[in-house]
Amino acid sequence: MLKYVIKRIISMIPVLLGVIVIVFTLMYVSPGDPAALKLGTEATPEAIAQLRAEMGLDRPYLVQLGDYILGVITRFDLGESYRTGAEVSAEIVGRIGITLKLAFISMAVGSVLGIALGILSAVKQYSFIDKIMTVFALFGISTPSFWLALMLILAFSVNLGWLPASGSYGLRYWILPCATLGYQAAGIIMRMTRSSMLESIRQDFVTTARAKGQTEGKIIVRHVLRKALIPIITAIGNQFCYLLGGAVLVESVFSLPGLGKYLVDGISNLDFPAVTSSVLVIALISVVVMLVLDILYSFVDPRIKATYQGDALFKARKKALKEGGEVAHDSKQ
Amino acid sequence: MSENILEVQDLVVRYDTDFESVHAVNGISFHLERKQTLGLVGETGAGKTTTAMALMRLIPSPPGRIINGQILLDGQDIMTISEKEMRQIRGRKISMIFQDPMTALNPVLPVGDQIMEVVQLHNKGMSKAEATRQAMRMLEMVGITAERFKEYPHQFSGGMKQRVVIAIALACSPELLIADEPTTALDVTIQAQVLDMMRKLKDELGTSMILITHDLGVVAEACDVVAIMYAGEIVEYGTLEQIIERKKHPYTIGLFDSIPDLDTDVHRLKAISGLMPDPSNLPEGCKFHPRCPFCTEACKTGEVPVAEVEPGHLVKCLQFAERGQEA
Repeated sequence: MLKYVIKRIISMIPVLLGVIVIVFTLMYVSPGDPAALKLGTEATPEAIAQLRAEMGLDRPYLVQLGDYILGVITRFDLGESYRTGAEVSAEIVGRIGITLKLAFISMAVGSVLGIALGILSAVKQYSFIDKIMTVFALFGISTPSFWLALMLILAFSVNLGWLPASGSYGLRYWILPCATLGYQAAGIIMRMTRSSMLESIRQDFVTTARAKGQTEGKIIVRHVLRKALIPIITAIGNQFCYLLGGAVLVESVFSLPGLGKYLVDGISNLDFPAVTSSVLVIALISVVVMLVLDILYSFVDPRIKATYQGDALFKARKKALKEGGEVAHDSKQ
Repeated sequence: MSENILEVQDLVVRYDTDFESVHAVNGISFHLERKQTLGLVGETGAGKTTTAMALMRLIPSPPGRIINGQILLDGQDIMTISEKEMRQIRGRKISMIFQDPMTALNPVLPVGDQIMEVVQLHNKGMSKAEATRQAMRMLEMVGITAERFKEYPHQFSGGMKQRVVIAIALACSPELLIADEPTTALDVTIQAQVLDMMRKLKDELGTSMILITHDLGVVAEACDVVAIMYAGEIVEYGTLEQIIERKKHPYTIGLFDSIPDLDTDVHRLKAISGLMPDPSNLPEGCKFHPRCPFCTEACKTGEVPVAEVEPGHLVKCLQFAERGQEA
């Protein structure tokens, strides 16, 4: 198991390098000149050229890319923002908290709501409740988040005046943004829970549990949900990663100074280091979340754990075969 | 304590969908004495499993419904009691072994937990340690070392899984055990082992058993009383000796004839011609008449009465009904 985790961590490196190369290249080939943007329309070509040289933009593409990667690897240096001149790493650290908080609370709301309603929907399949839930979920999945955010502001801030519309000064400020993102996540998680539950609710071991005299409620939680959990936690993990990058619109609507907003501002200001580094951080969190998911799988389903271990076992045998010609039989079998 | 552990009167089960009504079990009656084994024999689709599920009151509803019938378990009518009372009976007084051990166990729970579940359900107030000990005892009883308590179903072979299923079924020493084709999904070499073990445990615990099977060899080996089912009806019912030595119903005769005889040289196996009728569209009169070599005009209409050709030997066939009247 430990071997598997180490292997997975090592395999993250090429993924992250790939992300850097792609984003850096996209920014490099995008039209516009950061130096010209910084100096404004009045700047002389000489001044622009001088600034370009200062910023290192006049160097060849590969040198710039290599310099950035080297900085990240050797010094954890994410560069300096073109726009503010501050260290990008410091700016990201200051903002990542808000985005993570938003993502965590939204996912907590979405998971609890989604799983609970999904179970209800699966147990009462084709009933009136199930249909209401389906409409509720589809509305959540198909509504654009910025529209939902605006509607919530209109209802709860403008008309009712219950909740603040923007900022991040206290718990009250988090309710609307988290409700927006949480509702969307709930829709997807609810649909996933429902279909996964329906699949496992028809299996024979459920009849076995009934034949034991177990109550329906316990059968649902102990047997059906437990078996149905893998696709559900996958959906939760995917939604979490999506939220990290996708919270941009909601952060903008509610004026939350998070990573998403930083990224968008970076793009519109051609702030190469800010954009590349933000995407890199989001990618890093995403691959870590995926790894955590894979480890979680093995706790939820012992068969998956066996494949992780089985893989290592299989390789060990193959190696032994190559070296010694014959493998000692496992006495346990 | 009544003499019969189980009495079933006129049990009718139907599956109703929007398009058709499937007559799975059509008015069967039988009884089972304590500590005896009843073999429920028939082709696929004869209604054996539906009968078993009806006895557990586990017919999936909708679409299934028990239309009629009385089921007396140890003198208690289980058709009239509440679902809550029924839950206390399931697993404790009456339990079931399923056909396919591969799917009957929850893949994500250790086998020990799955045995403990039934122990704890029916022994409220039992400590966890005591329940664990009882579950380990059950594992040892079915020939699995107690160290494997924490292992998961995928770490067991098919035969071993069926042993676990048997351990679950017997964990609370039920009075009636329903075994629904317990050996069908197993290798032939394992079948005899599992069957042997079931018989031994049943005798040890004093359990009565209903053994559902289509394997006549298994019947001859393990049963005291045999009921032959066809299209949701019991067409012949009697002791093992009566059924094997003095079978009367044309269907029973056909079934036994289809077993190849090792002593005679045959080129083709003998089969009963035709197929089991569609249970949503059963023929009029005797349900077996389209396939019966002795079919007469009278067989094609009306209900077929049950005739008692000798004490305890019941046959549902017109040939014997008439003879019964003549005598």
